[in-house]
Order: sequence, then C-alpha cells, then structure tokens
Amino acid sequence: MSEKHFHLKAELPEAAAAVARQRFGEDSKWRLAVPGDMLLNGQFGNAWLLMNDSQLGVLSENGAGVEVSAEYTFEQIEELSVKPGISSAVIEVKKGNFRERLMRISNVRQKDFSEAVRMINTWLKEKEWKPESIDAPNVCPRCGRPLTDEMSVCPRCMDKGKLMLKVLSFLKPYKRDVTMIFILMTTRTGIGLVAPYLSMILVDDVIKPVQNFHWLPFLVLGMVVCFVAESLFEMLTWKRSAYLGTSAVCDVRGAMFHKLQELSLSFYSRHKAGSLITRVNQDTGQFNRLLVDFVPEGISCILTGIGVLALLLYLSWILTLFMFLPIIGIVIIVRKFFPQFRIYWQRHFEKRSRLSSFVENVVNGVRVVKVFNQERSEKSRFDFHSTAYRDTEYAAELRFATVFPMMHALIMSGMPLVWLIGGWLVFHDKMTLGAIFAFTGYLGMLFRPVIMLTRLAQMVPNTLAAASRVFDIIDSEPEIADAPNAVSMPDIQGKIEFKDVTFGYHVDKPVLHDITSKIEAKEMIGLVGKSGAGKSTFVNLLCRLFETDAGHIFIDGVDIRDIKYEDLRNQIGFVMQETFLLDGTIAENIAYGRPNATIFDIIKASKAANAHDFIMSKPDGYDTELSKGGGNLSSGEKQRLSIARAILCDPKILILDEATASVDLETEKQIQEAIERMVKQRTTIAIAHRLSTLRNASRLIVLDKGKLVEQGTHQELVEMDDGVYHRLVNLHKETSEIQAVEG
Amino acid sequence: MSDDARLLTPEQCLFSREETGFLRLEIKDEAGFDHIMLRRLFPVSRPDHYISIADKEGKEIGILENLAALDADARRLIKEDLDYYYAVPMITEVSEIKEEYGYCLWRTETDRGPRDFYVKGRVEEVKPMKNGMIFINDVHNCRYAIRDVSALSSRSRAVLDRFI
Repeated sequence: MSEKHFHLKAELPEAAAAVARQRFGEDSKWRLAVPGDMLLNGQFGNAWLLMNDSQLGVLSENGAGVEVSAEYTFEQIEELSVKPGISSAVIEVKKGNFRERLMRISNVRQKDFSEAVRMINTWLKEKEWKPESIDAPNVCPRCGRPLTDEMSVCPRCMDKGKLMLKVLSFLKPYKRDVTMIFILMTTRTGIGLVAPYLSMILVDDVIKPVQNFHWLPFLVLGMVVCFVAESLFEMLTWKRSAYLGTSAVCDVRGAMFHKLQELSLSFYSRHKAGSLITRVNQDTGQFNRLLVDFVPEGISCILTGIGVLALLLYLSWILTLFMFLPIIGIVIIVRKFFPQFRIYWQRHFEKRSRLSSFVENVVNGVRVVKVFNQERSEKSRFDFHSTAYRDTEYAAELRFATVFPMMHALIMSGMPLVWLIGGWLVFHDKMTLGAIFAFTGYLGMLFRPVIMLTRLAQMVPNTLAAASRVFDIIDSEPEIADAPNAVSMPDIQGKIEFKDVTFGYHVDKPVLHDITSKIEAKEMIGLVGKSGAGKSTFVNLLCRLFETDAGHIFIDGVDIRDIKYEDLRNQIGFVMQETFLLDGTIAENIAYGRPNATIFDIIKASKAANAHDFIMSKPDGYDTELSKGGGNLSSGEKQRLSIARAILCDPKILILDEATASVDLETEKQIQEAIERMVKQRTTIAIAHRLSTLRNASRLIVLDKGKLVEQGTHQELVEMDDGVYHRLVNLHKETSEIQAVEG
Repeated sequence: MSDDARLLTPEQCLFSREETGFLRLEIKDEAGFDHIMLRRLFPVSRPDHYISIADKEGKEIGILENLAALDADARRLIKEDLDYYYAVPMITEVSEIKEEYGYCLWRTETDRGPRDFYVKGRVEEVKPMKNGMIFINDVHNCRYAIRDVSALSSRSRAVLDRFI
C-alpha cells in the first residue's frame, strides 16, 4: 500500500495542524495521525493520535480550540492497548505498573485504532516501523459511508455502470432469450397502442357523423384482435422472462455457494454465519428481483411510456401538458409513501415471526411451563405479542386505507381535466371528439409505467447494493491455494514438526506464540490445556484450515504449504468434539469422507467404532435417516458415528477432539475401546479431557495461554510438582472423585 | 468453586481517584485495591444497582447493591468510571432517518453531542427493551439508546414513527 493511501495518516485541519506544529516542531514528520471521534470526558468531538520520530501525542478539540491533551516520549511508555466497552473504547498507555487513559474513541474508529496501536507496539518493542494496513478502512474514504466486512465497496462511490454490466454478464448464456424477450415486448407494446387509435376512428368517422356503418364491425373486430394479441404476447414475454431470470439467478446462487465452499476458514471467522446465510438467501433474492422483475418490467414500462407519450403529444400537446398535473401528484405520493409501506410490512412480518416463535417455544417447553405453574404468565406474554402483531397490521392497513384512495382520486382527476380542456379544444376546433376518446384510453395506459418507474428508481440502489454484496463473495480470492510447486504426497508417514509457529485469528491478538515441537510417526500425543489455551487452534493449523502468521509446520519434513492440499486433507482425519452429522442416512454419514466405500467397509468401521450394535437396534438400521444433525441420536451414539467416519477414512494422521459431554460409564467404556483401536498404526493428536486417554498417550504437550509450557510423558509431567499438568491432574482427580461419589 | 457473592456496604468502602485517573477502593479494616474495575451486573434493567467491583486482575472483590446509598462524591467517581465502559449515547432528538443502499442514516442529537450514524436494515437493529428503552445498534456495533420515546419532541416522534 502506498503512503498516499495509508488511511491512518489523516490530513489535520488547520487549527489542529497549527497546534501540532507549535508543540512538536515546525517540520515534525508524522508517521501516524489517526482521527478519533470522542473526548476523554465522553463527549463526541475531534481528537487525533499523533506519532512522529520521537514521541506520541494526542490533540483534542474542545469548545475553546485545539489543545494537546497528552504527550509521551517513547521512553515513557511500554505498550498501548485498546480496552473495548459497549459503544466506545479506551486507549490506555502502560509502563510497568503505571497505566493511564490516553484517549477515547467510539466503536466506529476502533478498527483503525487497533491497527495503529498494533503498529505503535511493534515499534516500541522491536523498533521496527511497518506502516502497512492489513484491514481495509471501515468508512469510505470518499464519502464517509460505512464499509463493513459484508460490504467492502462503498455503495455510493462504486462504479454502478460496471456493477450493472457484471449483473448483466450473468445473462450472457441466455443471449437468445434476451433478444426474443425484447422483440416480444416491443411487439406487445406496439399492439397495445393500436386499440385506442381505432376508437378514435370509430368515433370520428363512424358514430359521430353516423355514416360508414359497414366499418363498425371491422373496427370492433380490430379492437378485439388487438386485445387478444396483446394478452398473448404478454403471456409469452412473461413466460420467457420468468425462465430467464430464475435461471440466471440460479447461476448466481450456484457461483456464490461454490465460492463459499472454496474460501478458507479465516474468511468464515471474519464473517458471521448468519450474515453469510442472509447473503446466499436474501441478497440473491434481491438479485432475483433485479433480473426477474426490474429489468424486464423497467424496459417494458419505458417502451410503453415513450409510445404512449408520443401518441398523447400527437393527439394534443396542450392537453398532454395538463396531464402532468396528476402525474406529478402520483410521483410524489409514490416516492413518499411506498417506502413507508415496506417498513410497515417489514415490522408486521417481524412481529408475526416473533409471535410464532413464541408459540413454538412455549409449546415445546410445555413441561417446564406446567411444572413451574406459569400458564397464566405465558398467556399474558402471548397476549402481549399478539397485540403487538395486531397493532402493526392495523397500522399498515391504516396507511393503505389513506394512500390508495388518494392515488385513485389523482388518477381519476385526469378524466374531468381531459373533458374540460379537451371539450374546450373541440369547441375551438383544435381537437376531435374521437381524439378525446383515444386520449383517455392512452392516459389510462400511462399511469402504470409512471408508478412502476418511480418505484424502480427508488429500489434499484438498494438492489444494486445487494448485488455488490453478492459480488463481494463471488470475486473474493481463496487465501489458501496450492503453491505452484506443490508436491504430491499420497503416502504420508506421519512425522510432524512445528517450528516457531505463531498465529492469531485477528492480527493483533495472537492465540499461539512460538510453538516448537516434534511429533514422531505413529506417536500418540495428548494435547492438554485449559479452554482458550490454543489446543483447537493447534490442530486447525495442522489441517491447514488457517495459515500460520509466522513459523512453519512440516509433515515428513515438507512444509505443509508445499503439500498438495488434497493429499493433505485426504490423509488427516478429524473426530470433532461437536459431532457434525448431515441430513441423510447413518450409512451416508459414516461414508461422508469416502463416498465410494463398500458396504462392508462401512460395517467394519462401525464395528471398530462400537457403533454397530446400536445401529442394529434401530428399526431402519444403517438406513436410519438422521434428522437435524442427528437430533434423534444420543450424544454417545453421535460420538461413535463420528469415530466410525474417521476409521473408514483410514487417515495417516488422526486428530481427536474428545467430547466433554458426559456419557454413562458403559458408553464411555465403549467409546474408549473404539478410540484405542483407532489410534493404532497412525499418528494421533488427541485434545484430551479424559484421564484415561491422557495415560494412553505416548507423550503430552501442555499449552497455556498460547504457549507451549511442558512436554513429556504422563509420568514425567505428573512428577513436576509445580507444573501446569500436575495441577490439572489433581483438579481432574478431585472432580472425578466427586462424580464417583455422586454416582 | 467460586467464592461466595459478597455485598459491600457503603460504610466500609472508600473510593478515591488515583493520579493516573483510575479508581482506588479502600475497604475499611481490610485491604486497599488500586486500579479497580467496575461492571454493571444489570446494565439494562438496573444500571444503578449491583455494581461488581474487581481488582486489576479481574477478580471480583465484591458487589455494591445500590449506588444511591453512597455519598455524592463516591457516586460521581463510580459513575464517571463506569462511563468508560458503558458509554451509550442517549438520543435526545432525531432529526432525520434517511434510507439508502440497505442502510438507514440516523441524524441525531445525543447527550454526548450531535451524531450521525448508519444502521443496517430498517428495523432489525432497532430493539425495544422491556423497560421501555430502545437500543439501536449501528453498523460498527456502537449502541445508541432512547430512554423514553414519549419524552422526545413531536418532530422526533414523527420521524421515528415508522421504525418503532
């Protein structure tokens, strides 16, 4: 990133720059000038964190002007930290026991300040200045609108034309359909314009002069043909465009899901699952509306609008000018009230879903309600939700009840105007009676395009924003990809080495520090530590679900980044703590990692996992359908299924994340047996909670706060009196004794 | 295996501000703690009751039941300190809510000064709480609150009407 675009060095306003020059010297060169938005007293206001070659300073803008509110030389501080609160955060300085609040910022600025603090801390510790931004700014540098992980391009400042082209590029495979639809639409619009014109001929040349009677049936027939043909073309257009839009959106969804599968876990750790699901469902839904509804509707409305307007002007331009009165009124109403409708409806839907989830909750928890004798209070809570639901619906209907009659009145007000002005024009021989008839016909056709186009103009920006969120995913690059010189390793032996590995899910918060350890092939390692010590992260890195920030991991002496990803994944098995079972049968779930396994292999694997017997006892045996991630199985059963799944894959390296959920002693024994069978003949890394597993391990690695603190055999570590493991084992014994007593 | 919950009486507590700006607690006849950390146990429903006091390592020393029982100086010190964590701006005036690109731009006056912020969607991030307060979360996860809608000006209420 070039210095020019470095967003942590803002231009100071003149008043602040003057104070800075005065205090820090005329030619002080800023490394950082990060704008904050709060003062230390908690009021909103401008402040800046400044850093030059020799010191740190904070400028704040109070009522009187800009003042220097803090100043430190680098010798006076050891470290800065960001202490987050609910809406704001405090930046603290620390030296030894001394701490002081340096400045406050709202959460809007937190991302920038975390980065700045990280850079300053690196400078303080290592005297190394790395002015590189890892994160993108969280507000648009051009207009100040927010940028989030979901939306990394400012919806206002982005190139909308380019985005529209991208959207339309999904129509490319359907070129023929697009042409066809366009032709159909133009024809339909053309035909639609004929009928009112026929009515003019009918009035002026047949009925009013009472002559040419033989024209009458032909003219009427012509009208009928027009109506029928128009409907026919409408039907064809509709069918075509429905096919086109839905198929194109299906492609978009596919592209998005495909990309989601490809992206690394670090992408997922940055995005909330909920917001990703929203994007797949809702944002592509918006995309759908853009392609299926807006584009064809818009084109059709524009065509009709132009045609009608041209004919109105041709019939009488004076009268047409008067027609803009009701049209302007309609545009105003649509612009003002329709967005409100959407809000009212959304509120209404929200209340409805709250009500139904409340009912679901109470019905499912009926036992609790009855046991605690709370029927009455649940009834009043229900009434509360139900009333809220009614109120929102009533509020919405109330708006409809006012706005729609108003619209109708405006539309109808065109009529008297036409008769008044048109009548006057007829009397002055500037228009014929037939023309008035035709005029009213065309006028009726004009309102729909006016309403639709006004609404489209309002909705398109939102829809484009949704489209850009979709492209945000489709265009993102997977971080973990095979190196160009990746080697194929179809037969891993299982020797693992961690060398100075450091990693954090967020750059400024490392979870593992300088881990170095060697694991021999076929060894069984127990990974021990409190929750949050970094055990799961350790194995995640080994599976290369994330890339290390520093250091290397080797398997059989080869850096895992140089091993073909597929080979790596195929030979590492993972028994997860939270057994994740997919919808499908038991057999399908066991064979998940090896879909081409034979039936007999599946049975052998479940035997080895001590799962066969319980599977047998189900009426549908191996064909038992699992509902909702295995909701119809007990936790012990799920654990054994996931062990069977791992055994079937026959991995060279097995990662075992023991479940903490307690099961009865018999099940426990069966799981234990299964695990013992499984760990033979392969390198195993067990995140162990059971003492029995720990005893079986050939060696233990003890992690504490992200650091490797002890390694050795169970015996060796237990004998270290003040060791972390020693304490853990004692704690474990105490609790298991309690459990034993409680039975 | 945690220690029992301990209520601190106002009489035994002596709060003072250290030079660095952090708070110090002296429990009479017991011990002194510098750089104490305060948290509300019921930040929404009872912000002035049940304040947990922890030492600088984060270990709880005790709980203050009711701030009103403290003398004015101590109460002010504690409220000032809590504010560093619970700085939720109270909205006093809503001049406009403008919808654009799937966000709503709220232009407001707060007890901490004027503030414009962006909220995702229309109603998802606007949450009425049980005690009549309304919480609004902006896209950067800043929380804003309206204490009582009926106390706002009629203009603000008209702007808010569609969202609450």
